[in-house]
Amino acid sequence: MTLCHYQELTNIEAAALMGVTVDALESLLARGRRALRAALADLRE
Amino acid sequence: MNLDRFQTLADAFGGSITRWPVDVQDAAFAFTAASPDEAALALAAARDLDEALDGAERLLPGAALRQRIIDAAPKTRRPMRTPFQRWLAAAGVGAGLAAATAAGLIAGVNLSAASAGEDALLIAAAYSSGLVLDEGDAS
Repeated sequence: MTLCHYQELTNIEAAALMGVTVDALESLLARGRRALRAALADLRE
Repeated sequence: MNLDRFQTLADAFGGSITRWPVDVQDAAFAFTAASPDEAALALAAARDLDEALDGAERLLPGAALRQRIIDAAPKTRRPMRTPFQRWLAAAGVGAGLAAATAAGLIAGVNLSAASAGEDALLIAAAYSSGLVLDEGDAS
């Protein structure tokens, strides 16, 4: 999330830096953002 | 593109399609035009998280990722030499001077005063030309 959201790297650049495939990066991002959204929702309740 | 794929991309890359991977943007905009309500719902949820991230204190990468980022940065070249150093390097004077110094020391210890100059020149020439490489008695 740091690389893609804050640093605004492309998925290809971020995947290369993390040493994972582009598909894996997408999966990690989706899972991470969903988990964060759920955690924030819990905090707001 | 179907709703599941659109939702996954919104979950991964946020609520702005222009920040999604370039190769899926056209299909995503087409899906938005075809299914505006579903697309708007998915994007709105992702945008909420984008705004939360924008308002949050910056996250810092872990040590391992930080090191990989640094390692991936372009390497800087060695500092530029001064013009005189470049001239010395080009002329091979540095190696020649070192060889001459070593030869002079050897000559001073081992050779008679009368022949030291000539022998030193010969030894220096041998070092400079690479003829003398690993002579143990040179030290």
